[in-house]
Amino acid sequence: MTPVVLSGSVAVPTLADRLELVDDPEFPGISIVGLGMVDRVTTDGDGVQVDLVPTFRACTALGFIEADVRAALAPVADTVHVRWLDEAWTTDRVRADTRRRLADDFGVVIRGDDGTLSCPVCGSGTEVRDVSASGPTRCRSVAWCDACRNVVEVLGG
Amino acid sequence: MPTTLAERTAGPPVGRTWDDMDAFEAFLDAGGIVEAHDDMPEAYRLEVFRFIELHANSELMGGLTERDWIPKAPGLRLKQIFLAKTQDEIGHAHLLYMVAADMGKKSRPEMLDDLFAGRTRFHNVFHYQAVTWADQIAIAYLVDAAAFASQRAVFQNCSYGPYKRVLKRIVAEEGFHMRHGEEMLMRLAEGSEIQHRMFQEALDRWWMPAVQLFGPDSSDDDPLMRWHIKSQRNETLRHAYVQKYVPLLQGYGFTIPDEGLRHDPDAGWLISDIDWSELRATMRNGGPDSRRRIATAAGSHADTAWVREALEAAA
Repeated sequence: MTPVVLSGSVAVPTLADRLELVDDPEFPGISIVGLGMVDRVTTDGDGVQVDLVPTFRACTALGFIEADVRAALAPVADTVHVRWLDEAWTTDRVRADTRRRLADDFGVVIRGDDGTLSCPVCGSGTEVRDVSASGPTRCRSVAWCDACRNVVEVLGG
Repeated sequence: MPTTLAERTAGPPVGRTWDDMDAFEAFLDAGGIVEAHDDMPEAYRLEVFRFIELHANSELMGGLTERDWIPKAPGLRLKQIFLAKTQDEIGHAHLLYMVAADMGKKSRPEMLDDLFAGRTRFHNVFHYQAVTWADQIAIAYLVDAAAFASQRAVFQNCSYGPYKRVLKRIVAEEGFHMRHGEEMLMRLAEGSEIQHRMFQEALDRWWMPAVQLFGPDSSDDDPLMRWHIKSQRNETLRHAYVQKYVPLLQGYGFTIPDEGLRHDPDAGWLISDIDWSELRATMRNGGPDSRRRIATAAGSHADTAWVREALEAAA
């Protein structure tokens, strides 16, 4: 999804471009905007407020993400307010190009609407089976592809 | 970390065969990636399997170390960090045991039995006792960084596809842990005199195990180098680590516990010669805390048997 950006004195494309460069701390190269974590950006004079949605409320990366957002916007905004919303994050928020990059670059997939999984390595749509409800993080479950015999991780469980 | 085409297989997997070891090694030298269905030479299969098993065991033993400190971590933020790190390391072990078991040499229960009976190995750094909270921070800052450097080097040129793909995520996550380590170190480095001294004492205990983690100088005929599992020699990685961490730690006002440490204008920081007998004994599960750690891991596995039974019954 695309964040709603309301214009102020700071150029909106500048803010969007800069936030696009903030990566998820566990996925270098995957931006928080693409993951749908940026809900809304508002500007007021020279200040900017960024509303974020955490993928998982107790995630220990939240402080780092907040610091990275501040650092990214500091050159163009006098003040940066970051707020974490209580809204629940779902995989529907992940942008299509980000889904592709998660699969291609990290072997991490998102379950289809019908609950099926496709293998990010060999492309099999029928031979990926769930193994465990969680893996290295609470926001990913673990599956295995019987076709090419690779581990598949599933974002959003 | 850009993806290369070789990290992915195109279409349905088809097992490949090679005429002999020369042909196989030429394939590896050309950047070839071995897949699970391939008819790889038995010596390669065994060597890669042992390497992944060692890695999996180390993640498991490391995760259990982190777990021990969840109740003792001061404050909610640090408890969260240790909970997340425990989940992460045990999760890594889980993925690695899947890949290792698939290689057909040993099942996961067999690997765990061997680990708990002291028949197989895990990294040297998990054979020592963490005495104070500062030790755990030294582990997060120094040991995780050494493990990160070593795993990244394996990832860079790893010839076994299923392992390389898991390593990519592990390396990304270890990079994230290092930020936790830095955050926690800063608290002690910039804290009271007592906190500063606590970390110095922990550094005195952990510097040498961290440096030894890279192992003795690589031999010229190391099969792990020849078969593109390791991409850099042990001494190269160790030297780079020393160049980075000596000035960082000194910058925070700490003393490196090595009286022979010196700076050479050309070679950079040089540490004293290492007596590798300690590492050899440790890797044979004869380290200062090996016995207790293995017993704790075995006990933890036995205590959770009911969970596995319940999951199997539900499946």
